[in-house]
Amino acid sequence: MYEFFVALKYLIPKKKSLNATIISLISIFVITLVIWLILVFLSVTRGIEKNWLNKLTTLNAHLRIIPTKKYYNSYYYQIDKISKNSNFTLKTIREKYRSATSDPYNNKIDREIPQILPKKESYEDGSIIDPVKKSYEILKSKKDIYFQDYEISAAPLKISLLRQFKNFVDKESFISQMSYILSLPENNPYLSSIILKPKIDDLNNLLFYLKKEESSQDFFRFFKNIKIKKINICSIDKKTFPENSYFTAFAKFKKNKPIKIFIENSSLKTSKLIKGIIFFKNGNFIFKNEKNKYFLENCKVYIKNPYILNISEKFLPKLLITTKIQNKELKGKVDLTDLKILEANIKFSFDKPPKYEPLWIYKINNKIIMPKNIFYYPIILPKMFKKNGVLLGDKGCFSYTERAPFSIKENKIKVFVSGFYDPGVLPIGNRSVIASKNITSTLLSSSFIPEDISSNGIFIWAKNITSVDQIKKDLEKHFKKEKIDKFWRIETYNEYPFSKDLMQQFQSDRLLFTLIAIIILIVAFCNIISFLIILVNDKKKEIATLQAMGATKKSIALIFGFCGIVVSSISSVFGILTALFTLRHLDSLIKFLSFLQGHSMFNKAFFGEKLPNTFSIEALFFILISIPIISIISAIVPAIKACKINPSKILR
Amino acid sequence: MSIILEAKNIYKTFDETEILSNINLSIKENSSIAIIGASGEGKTTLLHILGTLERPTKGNIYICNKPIKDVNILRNTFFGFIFQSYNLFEDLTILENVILPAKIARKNYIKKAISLLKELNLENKKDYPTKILSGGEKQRVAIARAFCLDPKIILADEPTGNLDSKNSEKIHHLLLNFVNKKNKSLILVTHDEELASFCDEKFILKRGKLIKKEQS
Repeated sequence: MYEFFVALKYLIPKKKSLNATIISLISIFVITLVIWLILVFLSVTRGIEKNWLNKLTTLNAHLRIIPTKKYYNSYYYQIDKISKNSNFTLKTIREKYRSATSDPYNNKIDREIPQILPKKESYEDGSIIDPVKKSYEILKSKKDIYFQDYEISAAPLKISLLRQFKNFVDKESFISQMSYILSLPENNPYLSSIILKPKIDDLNNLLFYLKKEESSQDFFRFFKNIKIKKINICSIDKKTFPENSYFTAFAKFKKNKPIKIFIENSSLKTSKLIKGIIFFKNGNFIFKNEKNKYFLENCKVYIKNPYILNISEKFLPKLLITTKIQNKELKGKVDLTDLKILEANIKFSFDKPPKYEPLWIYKINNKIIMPKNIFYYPIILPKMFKKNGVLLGDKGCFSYTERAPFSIKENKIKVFVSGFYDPGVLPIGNRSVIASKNITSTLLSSSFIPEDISSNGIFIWAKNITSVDQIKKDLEKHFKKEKIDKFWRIETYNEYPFSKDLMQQFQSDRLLFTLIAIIILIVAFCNIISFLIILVNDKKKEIATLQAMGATKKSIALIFGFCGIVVSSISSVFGILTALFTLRHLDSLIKFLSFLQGHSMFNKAFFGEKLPNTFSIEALFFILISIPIISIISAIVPAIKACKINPSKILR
Repeated sequence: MSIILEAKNIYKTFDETEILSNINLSIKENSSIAIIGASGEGKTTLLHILGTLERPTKGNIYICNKPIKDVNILRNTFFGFIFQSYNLFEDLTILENVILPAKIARKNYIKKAISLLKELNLENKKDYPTKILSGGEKQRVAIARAFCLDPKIILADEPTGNLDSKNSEKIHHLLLNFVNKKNKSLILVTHDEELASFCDEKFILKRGKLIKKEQS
């Protein structure tokens, strides 16, 4: 194809056609820049949107089935109130599903059905319509979903923050907040993605409580599920000190007697401490410096920041540790009193149930499990609590009131913090506490929970989030067929009252930026038009000669069309490569920009811990579709100009 | 010898000024004609009309007694143009310039192009850019290009106009030899009467009229 061949020859930069060369290079640069900008921006915004969507739907599911007013007003729901079989108590969806019969009413033992109660709804064969059992049946037949009933309640939560200050003085403060309580959706396949792993400060807080409670079982549960790598300072038992081993040590003196000895890896630079060596010989613990030799009797020996080789819990509440300090192995019993963990590996995922259950939330094959405790119920808090000083192991309670025969009784449910999760979306997630179903059921059955804040329903997670609308349609069809459609409302995440605006805003933002991107691209492509017009002017004589040799107008147009396509293709390749490079090094770029700016570039609350840097395939598609279209359109004007050249006039 | 190109009652007007008036001309197979005249008399215009690069205001051109249909195919395969200022493509090599008409016709004529360059003593420079060539060499490349697709008629517009007298004579002889050797017809536009005298027929274009001049 000679048109392409000629076009390529025209695009090779030449000194003679400097103007065209400069403009072509500028065009390539500008379009590269624009493509880079669009790809990076769309990838990051798409990533943020996906993150938000994941966090939003992880906790609140992709779809949910909510009972309608007709459900609550139905005979099926109301009959439990007058049935002995149901303890004269209304049932939650879970309880309805687990109940042995769909109609608990027994006319022999129960009182007469009041006239205000709605009539029983039955199928043609006379069996009662059971919206819960039927809907579970339908949901179980679907292969592309996970589902679970949920209960949301509300109660004031008070957490006690007991902390140890200097000189081992304990101080207690409290955090109180009215909270929504969501039952743990353990069937949620995505829940583990928002659960935060415990951190070192959590471990130290747990250890602090453990030391107070002194439960040997809990000590095992703690130490069997962490691998300590480094601790701060700890005193070491003299009896276990290795015989004839010498260590460089620093002694603190009082009245010319050493009262504390420190052994550590790096040297302590302080004038108050005296350098020497420490060793254990013939049953005597000795500190020796240049001047004197001291027998240590009532002096504590501390090791600072040692690397831990092994820890044994045999002698709890003391630990037998094997450390490496000053390149020598040092083994000894350590008192837990002043032990502080600096580095540790925390066990969080298990393939099978562990022998010693951790004291924090953990997962077995991606299923989140809450730790058991005899006295307290475990709860999972949104990470905002952590920012306010709450740590793993902190204790607290939910307060609620219950109607007693002659008064109103105040009750408390004792809880402990077993973990944290990332709620993602600020306005809706930060007040939700995840707790076991026992808590939500207890709170829901209490008389003083306003109806509008408590709710009950079924969460559905789709295996593929893009199929939610199809799943909704399908379920609606089945519900209608089974005559249970009036009892349920099916909502997708786009319809949730708290996310509707956000989702619409994301869609509007995407549309708006796509429009802006197209406008920027058109402006950038005006450069190509200018370049091609200059090229046509430069090559007028050659165009006329080609026409004299029989080249058709179509061929002439194609030559300049190819020029435009080649320039935009080169720019696209450069743009895509630079975008890939930028996304790969996005963190470094943001660090650099934050350094220039003097503060963090992006708000972590909105954008997450770090900006998403996954290359967006949608953005690539946008570029791969829009660039050829715009480049062809931009080549039309110069191509028409080239075709209109009169060969006779030019060759004269 | 049969007539392969015929111009009948050709008129050409530019901005109400009549450049050509009632031109009648026929070119036979394997013949050569020269059109001479002073500058601005319309020689190039007439050549462009004959070569279908320009439409006449009035009158018709017949190719092998048939009216013109597809000008692009005619320009590509029936005519071979040689211009005063060579009109070579500076971005292409010498060989690429020569095979360009063949590429337009979607044909692979590399062997033919190389043999033409060999005949014109340019084979060893075939891969060089045209800018390194002298004026005479450039015109030889232009001649090779014009003959590449084996056209019936060579239309030469002042082919030696940009050359000195020595090179001019060389090119002229080369062109005429090539035309005779390859049995082509030639329409030569020139203002040099001496060069025109080597053609079979000679016409003078004066005040828009074409007058046949008997060979002396």
